[in-house]
Amino acid sequence: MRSLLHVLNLSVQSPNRPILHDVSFTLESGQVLAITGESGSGKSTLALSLTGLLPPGFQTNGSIRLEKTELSTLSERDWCQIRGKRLGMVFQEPMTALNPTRRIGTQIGDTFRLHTTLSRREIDTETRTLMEQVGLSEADVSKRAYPHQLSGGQRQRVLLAMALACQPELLIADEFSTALDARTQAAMMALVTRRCETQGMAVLMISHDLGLVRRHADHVLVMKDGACVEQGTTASVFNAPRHPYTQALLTMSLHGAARTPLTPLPVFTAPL
Amino acid sequence: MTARSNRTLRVGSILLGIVLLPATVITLFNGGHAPPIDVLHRYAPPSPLHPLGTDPFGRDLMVHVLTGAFNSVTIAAISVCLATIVGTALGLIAAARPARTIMGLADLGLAFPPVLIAALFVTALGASATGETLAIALFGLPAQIRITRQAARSILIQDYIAASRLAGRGPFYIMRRHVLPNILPLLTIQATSSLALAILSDAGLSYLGLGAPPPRPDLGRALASYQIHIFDHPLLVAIPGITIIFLVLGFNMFGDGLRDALDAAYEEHTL
Repeated sequence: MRSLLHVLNLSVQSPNRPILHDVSFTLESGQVLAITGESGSGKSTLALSLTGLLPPGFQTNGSIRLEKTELSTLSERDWCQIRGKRLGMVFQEPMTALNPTRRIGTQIGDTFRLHTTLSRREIDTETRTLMEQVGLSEADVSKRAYPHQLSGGQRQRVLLAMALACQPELLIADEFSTALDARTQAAMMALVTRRCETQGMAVLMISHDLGLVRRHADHVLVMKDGACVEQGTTASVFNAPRHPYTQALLTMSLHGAARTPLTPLPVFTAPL
Repeated sequence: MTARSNRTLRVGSILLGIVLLPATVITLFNGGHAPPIDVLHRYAPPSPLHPLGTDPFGRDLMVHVLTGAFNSVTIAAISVCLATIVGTALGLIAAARPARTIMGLADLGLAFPPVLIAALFVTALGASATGETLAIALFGLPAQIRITRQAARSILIQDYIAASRLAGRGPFYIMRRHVLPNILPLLTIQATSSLALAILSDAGLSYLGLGAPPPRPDLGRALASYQIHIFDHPLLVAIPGITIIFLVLGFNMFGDGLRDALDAAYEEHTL
């Protein structure tokens, strides 16, 4: 495994207060790293700083390296070369993440138009293939549909298609399956893990759903008040949590889950 | 579309149609020039030849006022177009980055009464249609900048803007493809409502003699020159006045109706 993302002593400061303190971790290609913790612990700020989308006025210290590229000092122009091409991101809220005035096919194809030299016809085919892959069949959803004609789950699939379009090395998923029903969630995660296995894509999954984390992540990083309190392999963190906060988090959320053993849901997967 | 908005839109269109359709037809024939002077038939009462009678120069009142209406609407339309294009561009820039200069100038512009701006232009350029058009456009500019900036900002905080940036798109593309299409309905409504205000400004300015010079027919100047006859020939004052009312009310109602109709269509789409 080659290591893909190095975050070293990352601190982020908003105009009013510090948000992240000294967060460090490494992510290898093909691996899934879950970042978990309560609301307000700085998970989303971490995701934003990894994509260079922090609001103006925020200060970043430390180093973020994507292979050999140092991301923390990139200009906006250079960021445009990285985003979408080497790095994709899916949001939590599928209802607002699509432009209501543009057809979904156009929005998915946009990434191709920007980062590749494919012709119009090739982009059309690629878009169609991608939509099939995320489970939007021609029969169900037309490329020419507008976002309002789609359900929340279908919109989330469109967003995933947009993020996966240029086969990014790193996918950041910020609570992206929280708004979905269990079946769709499982299908989307299966698709993402398939990409990890076949193309070596790394996933940074931000979630407070510990069940989901346990099922899909290779490594876990637990955050509290902007600092990393514990990190390690999923098995070690879940079976032998060292930090009291992790222990509390696990007892609280797995208490109910322990009584109903996890049964794998029937998973829909489209061929990749 | 709701029944109420439908009615506002319809009444607005009817008011505009009553003035603009005949005005356009007449202007096509006389090229926007005043009807011929006929000293033998001054102050003629309405007759089959002159449906609304003639004015102190023996000119046909109906033709004169309708030609004036067309000229006023032309000036108003050009100035609104200017204000919309320039104001939208500046508003988008002001939304994208901290733009103290633009907003400062816009606020400064709001502080000056339009008549003062117009007087300034007339002093600099002489009384002309161009000067008047520029003055009205300049008067509408600050509001256009503010509205565009506000609307664009509400779009810029949407997740799909972040999604587009995540796909690697730069600010110019995002403004053109994401922000502009989403604020276009608002800009259309704003432009229609501005037309009403622009016509009122035009009438006011030419009433004061700051508009296009004679012999070009003009609603405000007609009102000013006929007003001494308000008791002996009331029709001379009533007709230009009613025409202005029809145009202003018509554009206002049309704008309001359009807004309600677009809102209804938008809600149907999003919910």
